[in-house]
Amino acid sequence: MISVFKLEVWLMRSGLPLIIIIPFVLGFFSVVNNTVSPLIIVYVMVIALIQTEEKNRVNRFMYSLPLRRSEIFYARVLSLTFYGSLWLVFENVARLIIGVTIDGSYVFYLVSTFVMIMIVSTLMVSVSKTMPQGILRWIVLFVVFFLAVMSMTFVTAITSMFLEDVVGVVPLFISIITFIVGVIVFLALSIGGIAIQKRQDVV
Amino acid sequence: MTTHLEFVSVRKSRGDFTLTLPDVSIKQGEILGVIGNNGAGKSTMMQLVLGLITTSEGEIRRYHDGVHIDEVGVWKKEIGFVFDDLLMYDDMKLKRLGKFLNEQYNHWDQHRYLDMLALYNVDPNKKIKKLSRGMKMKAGFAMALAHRPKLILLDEPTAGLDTKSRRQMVRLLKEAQSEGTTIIFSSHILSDMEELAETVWLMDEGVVLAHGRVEELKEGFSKDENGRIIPTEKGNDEVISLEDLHDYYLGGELD
Repeated sequence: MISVFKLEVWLMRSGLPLIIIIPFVLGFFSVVNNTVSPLIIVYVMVIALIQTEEKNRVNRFMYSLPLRRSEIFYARVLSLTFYGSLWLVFENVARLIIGVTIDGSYVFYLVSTFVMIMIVSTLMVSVSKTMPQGILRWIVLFVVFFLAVMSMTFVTAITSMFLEDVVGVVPLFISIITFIVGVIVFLALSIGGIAIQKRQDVV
Repeated sequence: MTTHLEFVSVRKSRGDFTLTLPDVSIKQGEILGVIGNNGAGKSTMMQLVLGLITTSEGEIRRYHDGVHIDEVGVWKKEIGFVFDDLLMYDDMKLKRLGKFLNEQYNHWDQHRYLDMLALYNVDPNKKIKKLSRGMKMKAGFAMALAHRPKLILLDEPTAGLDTKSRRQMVRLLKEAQSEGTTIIFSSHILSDMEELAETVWLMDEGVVLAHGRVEELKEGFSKDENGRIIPTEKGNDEVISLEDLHDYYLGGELD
């Protein structure tokens, strides 16, 4: 799986400087927690990867190699999570440099954004690997992305606001629970995605 | 010889097309040639063997040194394949692709890969998009053999190759067979098939019309006074070529 992950990162190598520089610069100017930008990066990256894959018609070759379908699936999820996390990391490194306060709410923002990156990546890969090529797949990808981002940002915003009103800050254990729930959702989605994909013909 | 592959009541339906394969087993070290016009189902058969597509009915049993292997991913480590085109990320250099494949195959031999590219005069530092179709086929062939596979699948491997390269390919395949490698290949170039294949399948529209050892199939035919091939009793002395068999079963000119 690691070799395929490295291949995916190599494929998007031209975009990597931008994923590092733009969030780093943005981080110096942003005063609010920014959840959506890394998710948009995940979306842009999955579109770019699918288009590269389709242009080069590589599926037959890749799936003929001694790789399990789950390895190819997880490698892509991991690479998308990697791109999204890079954005998150560099944006927040810049914010830490300018002196943002690290408290429970900030940790919750970081953890929940990471969990969202992971889940959105899994959803995008599941849809892209299980639906046939065509306009319908692009539409479904966008709708799934939009609904996932809307619902997850809504839930995390409500949770964060409610706890800040009641307790003053989001307790650390909420971040831990969010992470555990995120991992469970990630596993459920990926197992489902792989199960559907396994029954499908490659060519 | 131990069984390498066994087809048991295999059927594959895709839209209007149905492929039906005979219940046969392929022995370790056997060379099977698959002959058929376009749309006969040759590529579908290869894809089934590779596990790219699943059977609609029946199963393909895969063996390694006589032991049944359930996990296709494990079994694929022992397979080399050449399709009618090398379709990989076209921005990738062949040398880099070799390093990537080195991580997939336990027995990948990068030196052997580079030596074979050199034999074919293919520059390993060239990107795939810079290669001609023939060069891609040669590179694909080097990839298929570099890890000394137990089974080689070749789908139209000689397409786009010049005569010299085809001769080299036939020689390397014979060498591989002498080391016990099973080879399944389809080709429109029947002279290559004639030289290599021990057994053949003649396919048309998803059905295997005839299969068996080449010599035995030929023995069942002779030629009439007009030179046309006709079924006859076995044991005749007529010299029948694979092209004659192709004409009899599949008719007309080759695609």
